[in-house]
Parts: sequence; C-alpha cells; structure tokens
Amino acid sequence: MDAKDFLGTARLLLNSAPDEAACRTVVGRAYYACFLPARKVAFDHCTLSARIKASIANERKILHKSLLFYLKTSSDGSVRKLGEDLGGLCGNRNEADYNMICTTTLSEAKEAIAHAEAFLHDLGKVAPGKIGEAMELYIDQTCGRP
Amino acid sequence: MASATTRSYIGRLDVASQAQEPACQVFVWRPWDAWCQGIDLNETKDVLLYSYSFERAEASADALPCIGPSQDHLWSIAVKGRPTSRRALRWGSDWPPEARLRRNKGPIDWPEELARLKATGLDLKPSFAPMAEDTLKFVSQADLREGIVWLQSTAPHYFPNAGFQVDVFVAEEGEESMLSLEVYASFPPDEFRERRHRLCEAMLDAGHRRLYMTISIFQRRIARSGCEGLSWYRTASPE
Repeated sequence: MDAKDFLGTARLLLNSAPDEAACRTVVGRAYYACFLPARKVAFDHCTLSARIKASIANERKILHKSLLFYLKTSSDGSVRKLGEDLGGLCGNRNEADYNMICTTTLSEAKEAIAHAEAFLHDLGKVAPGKIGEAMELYIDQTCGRP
Repeated sequence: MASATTRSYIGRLDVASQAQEPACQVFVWRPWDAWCQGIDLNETKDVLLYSYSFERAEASADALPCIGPSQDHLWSIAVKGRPTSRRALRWGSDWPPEARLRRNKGPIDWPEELARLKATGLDLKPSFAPMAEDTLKFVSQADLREGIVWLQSTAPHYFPNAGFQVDVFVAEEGEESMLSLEVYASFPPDEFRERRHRLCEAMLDAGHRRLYMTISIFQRRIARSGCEGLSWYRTASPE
C-alpha cells in the first residue's frame, strides 16, 4: 500500500466524532503518512556505497532518528525544513502514543493532519536526489553511525 | 560581582532581540551545577531558569527590581528591555543604583521575588518550565548546555507569548533519546512551521548544530485558560 493513505485513515477518524484515543491515533497516523514516504525517498535515492557503509540493507534499517538526522544535515534549506517538520510530527506522535498525562485534543489532531498535508506537499516539491544526497552526506560525516 | 559568563549571555540576548523585540523581558538565571548536582562555587556557567515577557511597552525597565549574581553564584535575576530606549541593560553601571544588586545565599524565595516584580504593575509571563531531572541529565551528557541557554533566551522572540517545555523523548524503542521543545501556543499550522524554521536557521547560524540535530519542536495547543492552565505556570506565577 501507499503509506500516504494513512492520512486518509487519519481524516476518516477525525470526521467521526473522535474521542481522545482516536485523536491520539490521528496524530500517529499523520506521522507515519509522512515518515514512511520520506524514508522511501531517502533509501531509493541514496547511493549503494553509502547504504553499504551504513549497513542499510533495506528501508526498514533507517530509524526514525536517523531519517531526521539525514534531512537536517542537508545543505538545502528546503530539505532541512522537511527534517524540522518531520521532527515536529514525530514529537507530537510520541506525546500522543506514550504520554497519557497530557490530553491530546481535537485541535491537536486537526493540526497534525494540517502539518502532514504540508509536509507531503513539500516532499513532493523537493528533488528526491537532494534527500539522497543529504543521507549520503550524513553517512560520510558519521562513518555510517546512527 | 557578576560573572563574565552571565555578561556574555546578556550580550547574546541583545543580538537575539534585534529580530523581534518584546517590550521587556526578565531573565532568571541559576548556576548549572547548583541546579543539577549541588553547588560548586567555582562553576561560573549559569543557565536560564525562567524568562518573563512584559507586554506593556510603556513600562520602564529602570523601575524594575533586579537581582544580580551573588558572590556565592547561587542565582540571579536580570532585566532586559527596551521600553523607553533601545539601550541594552548590562550588569554594573548601567543598572539603576537602587536595583543594581541584591544578594541571596539561599534558594529563591519565589513568592517574595515574584511579588516584587508583580508590584511593578507589569504583566508577568513565565516562558520556560523547569526541566525534569532526566532532561537535565541528558542535556548535560550530550553537552547541550550552551545550546539550551541560547534556546531559552531566543525561542520567546520567535514564539511571542508562548510557554515552553524542554523534555527528553525516544522516537522508537531501542533508539537513542532526543530532545523536544514543546511550544504551548495557538499559532496556525503554517505560521508555526515558518516560525520554527526561522528559529532553527537562527540556531544553526548561532553555531548550535548539535542542538539543532537532536531537538524536535512542536506545538501543544493551549487550553482555553491559556498558559494559566499549565501547572508550571501557576508554580511560577506571582499569584
């Protein structure tokens, strides 16, 4: 399936009088609708030698934190912004999934979808090669360590 | 006698405030080691404990009380503002004599100090929540203290009237910890993203790349009661 479809699931939940558990799920689905496509772009457009250097045999070897590092390492501001946006979604998702003390509100669920839509829009506008280059740059700088 | 470190931090605040200037701000500092692990009198690195934004542009910074670093380096409160002029306040001769220095060898008496600030008639808004022990430990181990001090003094300029909390989180089980900056505010999503990007670019420009790489910034929508609904706000509030 196309991971972006998770955003449709998030919208569906949002439009069904969601309780807090559903709001938290919306935030999580919004994040994964962004993380998975971005990870695929990074993997697909990174050179084989860089992947070998970092022991990344498949997409699933790219950790959440690693992907943020790759994007933020870019010399291109639009790619760095993707990293900042994904980091924000990741932080929101972490709060929604693990922090049962602070309430996740309906407005936060709506906002997560808005952020995810903007992220996917921007991801589509950035040249995929720039994301691959950012990943290679990070691997070069760190010798492949996460 | 003010520490050189504190002076340099205030200098940085002057630079940061040129972009977006609040009416006036009060910064409360405390030495890192006194905060974390007990007091080391030889430690001169202070960290920002709270900052307050003042909204009344006509207020006079000279009318505010201020507390300088004591000889024991236990804590300090600094006032920075441009209510009546663009002159940057610094420790020493720039301060009005009656407000230049007060010393306290014990813990901060918050009710007393904040009542004193409140008596000025200004609207006090604490910006940063105190950090939890595990966050302090992470920041210390990751050598992010300088970056956090920078962040605490700069973030309020990019997110006016917001509350902030720095926390540790793990993106996924088995992964290393990261930092989060939770911004308690109500910015529209697009505006929040732009402000976050500007803050991040400023972070890189200021040389805090390590912090940039490890921090995730996101908005927590404040309740209808605003920042007053936050427990740490009430703790720090003069009321």
